[in-house]
Amino acid sequence: MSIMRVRWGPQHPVSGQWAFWLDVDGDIVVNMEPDIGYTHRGIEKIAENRTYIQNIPVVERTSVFDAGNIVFGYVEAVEELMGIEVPERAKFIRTIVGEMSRISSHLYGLCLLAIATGFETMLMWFVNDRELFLDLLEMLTGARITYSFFIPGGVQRDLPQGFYDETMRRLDYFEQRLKDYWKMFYLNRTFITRTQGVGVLKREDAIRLGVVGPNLRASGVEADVRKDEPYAAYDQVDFIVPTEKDGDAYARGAVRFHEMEQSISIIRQALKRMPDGKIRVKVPVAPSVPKGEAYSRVESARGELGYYIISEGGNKPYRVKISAPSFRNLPAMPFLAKNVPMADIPTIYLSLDLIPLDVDR
Amino acid sequence: MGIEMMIESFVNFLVNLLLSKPFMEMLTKVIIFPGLMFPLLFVVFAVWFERKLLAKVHLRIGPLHVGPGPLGGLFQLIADALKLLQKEIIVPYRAHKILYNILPLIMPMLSLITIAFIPVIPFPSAGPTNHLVIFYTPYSLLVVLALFALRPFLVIGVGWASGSKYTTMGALRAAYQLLAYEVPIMLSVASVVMVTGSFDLVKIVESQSNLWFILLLPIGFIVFFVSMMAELGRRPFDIPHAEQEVVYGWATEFTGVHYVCVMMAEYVDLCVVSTLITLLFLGGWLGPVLPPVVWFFIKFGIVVVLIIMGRGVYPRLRIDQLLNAGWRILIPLALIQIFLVFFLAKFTPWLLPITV
Amino acid sequence: MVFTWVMSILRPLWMAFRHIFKYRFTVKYPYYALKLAERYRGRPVLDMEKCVGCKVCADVCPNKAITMVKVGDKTYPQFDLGRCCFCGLCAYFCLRSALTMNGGYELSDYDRKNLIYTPEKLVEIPPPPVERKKVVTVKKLSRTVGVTHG
Repeated sequence: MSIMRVRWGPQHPVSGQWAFWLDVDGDIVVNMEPDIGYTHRGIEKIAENRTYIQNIPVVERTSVFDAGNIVFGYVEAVEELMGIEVPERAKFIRTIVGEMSRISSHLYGLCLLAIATGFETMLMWFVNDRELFLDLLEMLTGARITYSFFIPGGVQRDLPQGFYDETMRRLDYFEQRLKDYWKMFYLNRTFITRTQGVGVLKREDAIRLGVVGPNLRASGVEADVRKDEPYAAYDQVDFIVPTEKDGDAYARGAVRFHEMEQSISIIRQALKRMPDGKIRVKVPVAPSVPKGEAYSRVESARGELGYYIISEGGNKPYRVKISAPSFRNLPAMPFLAKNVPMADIPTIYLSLDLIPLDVDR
Repeated sequence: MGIEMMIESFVNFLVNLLLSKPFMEMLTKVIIFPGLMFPLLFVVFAVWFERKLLAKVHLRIGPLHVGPGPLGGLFQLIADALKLLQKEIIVPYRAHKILYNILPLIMPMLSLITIAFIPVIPFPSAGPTNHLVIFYTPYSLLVVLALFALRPFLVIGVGWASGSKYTTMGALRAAYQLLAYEVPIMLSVASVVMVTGSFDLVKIVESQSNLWFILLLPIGFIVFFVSMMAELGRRPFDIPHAEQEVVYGWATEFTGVHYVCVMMAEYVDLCVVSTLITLLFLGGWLGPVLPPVVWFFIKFGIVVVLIIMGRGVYPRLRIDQLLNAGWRILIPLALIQIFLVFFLAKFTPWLLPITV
Repeated sequence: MVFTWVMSILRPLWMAFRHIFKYRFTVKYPYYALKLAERYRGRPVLDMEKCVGCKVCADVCPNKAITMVKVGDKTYPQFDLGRCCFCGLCAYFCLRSALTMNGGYELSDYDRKNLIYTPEKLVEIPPPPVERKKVVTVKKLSRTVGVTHG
């Protein structure tokens, strides 16, 4: 048996913006080494030279598809440092933006799983349905992907006219479409054959490797930051955390699917229960923050996101450390890629939802 | 005097030959229908139709600009082919120069030759039979299937002659798939031949005048349809052309003319396979009210639409799942179909076209 | 058991077939364009009457894309659109609401020097696409489409 070393570089039809070395014996992959760093932009270093409010567009570009939840963590940590309390209405609006961002990120993640199995129809339909939510976010915040909507102290603007009716209409339509999607994609014989039993991550291995997010929930561990340490308005809405027991690629796709259904119900409850009041607490443009350090955890679409901010007084942070979920999920990839056929490699890493932007920052 | 008479008699002879009915009929058959023009025009139409149909399933617009108004994009293939024909032909350093240049040109020729044996519609002709067929033989089904079985050799030859190890690997996988699905094809065709009693495509269609074979042998139809989709290289059996480790599988190194030929061979094969399916199982040109040409094209269209829709609806299977499906599921089904023919002959002989 | 197996193959075919007769989501840009929301963040637009030259926008910009220049005897901001990331913080923190982000998104040019917008060039607002017809009307969803000016 002779082992051939193949490089799937950054210019490959199926890999993302990262590369890996595969040791292949015939058709079976024996070993895999990822090669990251192609999209490293030094965001943590850039963030040390900007004030706290100037950092918001910078930090948002860490992972573009899930921009709502990424800034959520940053803003929570800064508010903990400054010691200010956000009004109730702002918490509900932040919850709504976070959940819409989660839905659009899950739709994109499932598109990537579709590319891996060669399923163009799933890709096109999910990208079409992202448009529903991107239009709503454009109506609310002004931009489709990178919102820059959260400010330490609250949110920038209030809900516009007609937002409530338009959102309810689109949520009804999307809920009906999700029922069709379950029948069309997840009960499709070829999709089941292609993804069941592929990349099985058992419960003990998932906990030992430190995997976070829907990948952990697909292996049977019920861990969600929104339930363990509730932030914003998550303790005032009812939802369940979907888990599956198998731990294969099909289970990871199914967990993301059910999370989208739960997000729809969270948005509906938040819109109905929204209290009146102010939307932000006035904070100066270049705030001077007292000395200290703060850590905040947020559940983004890909997993648990942590921010650790150290300040030495002044209006620029001393250190901003981002603990990105894709970087935490990365060790699962070489672990799962032992003795699998080569055609399964894209299915495994695209079902783990690893985005190279998140890994490199 | 003698020379003038000879020339005049020669010219008379030529004119009589060229304007006579058998020659004009042969010209029509070879060039227009079902000869050269029909598959080539079908290729242009099928590429446009496939892209538009898939676009409608994906809720978007397909090709739009090159072509007449509401049928925009119809001539997109011609525009692409003209662009490709003027590209430089790059021969890789380690390629086998003669085979690399000639084998891709043979591929569409092989598929076009297969059309010479398929009868399409009844036609009062001067040949040995009253149907529109270029070359009549009482064993036409056997000849067509034998020509189909030559394709894996061309694929392996092309993949090896390109000189890179990735194309060789891709060609070997394609050859595994094509050879594995030959057996279910032969077995399901065997059940049709057993019911009819001859290899003649004309007799097979005529013996469906009471009951179409899709109703009499449904399992055979399903086995034949799925195996033919795998032989063509259509999704969900897409591995030869859309592997993930190599960009286009065994035909990666081709540009220009060779690429046009490879693509054309794929779509001419689609035409031939659809014709075979309509003749064998759907009753060919038989039907109540409309003329036979119209029935033939309706059935042909339905089969083409079904094969094309398979591309939008199912993801791609892995190579070992594909071979599993071929060896372990389709062959037993075809054998069950053959046993069912025995039962039908014993218990309900009035259903079959011939009595034993 | 066999029934679910067979249905799992046939049902996607039927559902995909139904989709052929539905609407389409895509818009034939550049002949038609989508109507933008009111708050859409295009390029910044300056109102020279209201601006007092307080420099808050230049301080808040994360990419340092704004420099203050003298026009006549007052100072106004000048934008380098090659550096602008369209975040909208300058418009949000402007004390006199002199900056709005109504400038549209069709800003390409052949020369990088033309992307530096002087204060006079910042004043004009490009015309919005004229509302022409609704292309997509499905039971509960509609996208309004207009004709572009270009």
